[in-house]
Amino acid sequence: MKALSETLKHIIVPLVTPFTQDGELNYEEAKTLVDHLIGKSYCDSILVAGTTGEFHALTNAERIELFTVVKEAAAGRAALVAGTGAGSTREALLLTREAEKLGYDAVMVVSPYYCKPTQEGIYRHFETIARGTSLPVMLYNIPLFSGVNINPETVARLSKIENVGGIKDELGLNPTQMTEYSLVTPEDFSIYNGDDIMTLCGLVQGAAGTVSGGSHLVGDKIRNMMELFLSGKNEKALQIHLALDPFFKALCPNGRVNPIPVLKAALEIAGHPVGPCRLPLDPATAQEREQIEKHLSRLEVI
Amino acid sequence: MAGTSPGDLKKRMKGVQIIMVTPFDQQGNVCIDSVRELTHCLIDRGIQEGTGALVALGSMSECFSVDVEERKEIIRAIVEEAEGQVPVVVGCNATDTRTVIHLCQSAQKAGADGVMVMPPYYFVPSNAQILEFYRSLTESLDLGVVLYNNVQVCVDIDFEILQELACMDKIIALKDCTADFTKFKICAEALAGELTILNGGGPLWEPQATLAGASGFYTLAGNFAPELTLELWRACAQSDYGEAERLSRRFVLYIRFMREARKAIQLTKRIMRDLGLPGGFERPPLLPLTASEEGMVAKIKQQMDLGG
Repeated sequence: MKALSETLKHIIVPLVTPFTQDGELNYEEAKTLVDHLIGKSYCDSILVAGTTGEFHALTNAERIELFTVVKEAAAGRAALVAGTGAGSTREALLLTREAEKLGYDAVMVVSPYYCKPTQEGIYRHFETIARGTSLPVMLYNIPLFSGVNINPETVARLSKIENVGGIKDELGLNPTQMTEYSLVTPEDFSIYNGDDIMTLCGLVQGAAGTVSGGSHLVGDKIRNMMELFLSGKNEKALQIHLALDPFFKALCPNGRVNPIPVLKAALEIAGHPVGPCRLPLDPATAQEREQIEKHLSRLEVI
Repeated sequence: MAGTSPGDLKKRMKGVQIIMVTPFDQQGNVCIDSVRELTHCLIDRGIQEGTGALVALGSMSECFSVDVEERKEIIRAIVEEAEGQVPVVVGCNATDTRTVIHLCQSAQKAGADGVMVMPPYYFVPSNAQILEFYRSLTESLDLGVVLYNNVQVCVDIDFEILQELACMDKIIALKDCTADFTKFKICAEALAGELTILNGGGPLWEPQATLAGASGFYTLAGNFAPELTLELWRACAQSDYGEAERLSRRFVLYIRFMREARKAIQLTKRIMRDLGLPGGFERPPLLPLTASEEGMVAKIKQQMDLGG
């Protein structure tokens, strides 16, 4: 099996899931958003129903329909990853098989959340899913949300399964864990950073790329920053990082941990009618919208 | 013996900053011969002017269990053996201004090239207190001061205060322990004209810290693996991040043990004894490694490729 990073390349954009004002899934806008990302070269590949796609608020039927719609809209122009994580192993496996039927390039599976499994439980969760599909599986570690860390020993065991091809690590809580992962996994195991703010740090540590929600809006700058760094123009890359950093931080104002409500507000301001989040995520306040709008105009997104 | 002028020291402070262990014998006495031998050994193995500095009596040197007379003896021994081939910087930390000034003056008299000082700890100092503390300290010293922003033990000094401190004549370097890449970069960029920026976050953080503007890093592992720490520093300084990443992998188990067992000093001394280096033993209240912790030592050494 070829390395996952050969298929997914540097920038994976976790697609925002658009809703109408009354909370129905807006498939038409999802297609438009896919065209926007691909048309502007803001992404190398698209992740459907990840954290940014509010997978936690979608029914399984909606998720599968969204996989279908995005697959058609992308029409082979970008690699596609299906977010098939679930709190239960059976459900994650079911969704994974649906993605496989639809011809997705890979699945990304978040660590099992809420029930606080042991490392052995985490291992068996991923093992069951990987052995139940022929698609490459990307593990997804986000202890900030899931409540559990996928420890390096567990990643080492999982990387021995042929189609476990990589991991996306939300670096925020432990930025150097990526080095621990790369130490215990094969050379072709693809490690992605999953936090916009950490894209450059990830590259310094040898990450294959980034999963970047911010790239919906600043994908050109992210790509430019990555290319500058990879061609040795560190200082120029750093200046882009410094310009973007306050924007990313402004996505989580007032103690918010989840950036999606303000990201969606920013997309609306920039002319993408993606609608509000579904509850329990509450919409951006007028003051939060005003703040993010300032960053959008500073970065010349609007 | 005269120390270095603050301006000179600023230029000399780069590379691998070895936090030297303080060797005690099994009865708990300081072994001055071992201090001398370790100093020699580090210089012989490449920690020299331009590639690094020796740091005596940092917290990882068990400074908290060394008395004032012993301090003088240790500093003198290191300075004499170093013979100016490498800068010698002395950690001078206490909970009150008078004591810190006394420790710094004593280090100056013993021939140190500089001192490394965090704000007074234990109580949480205000910004005004931090400023006044460094003002009186620098007024009573001729040596350069490394400003130690020790986020864990003391406070994370505000950026505005760091800027004011950087303008004080004798403050010549910043040892920054923040693990926030953007904050590190913003500090480094704003203060680079006044200060040499050094990474206090250890070897795994070194590639990122160098990218953000650090000129070197602090390490305890350098006591027994100076070549490895020098290689890492060089790879980072040359922006060879692929090589830096390969080298930093060799520190993973060591750093993990430090984080989980919280026995960095004991582990370091244990490895040094294994390798025939003059690290000695720890002093109470530190306890030696337990039997199960002992079981990790061989793996850590193997990962670092130390042999022995």
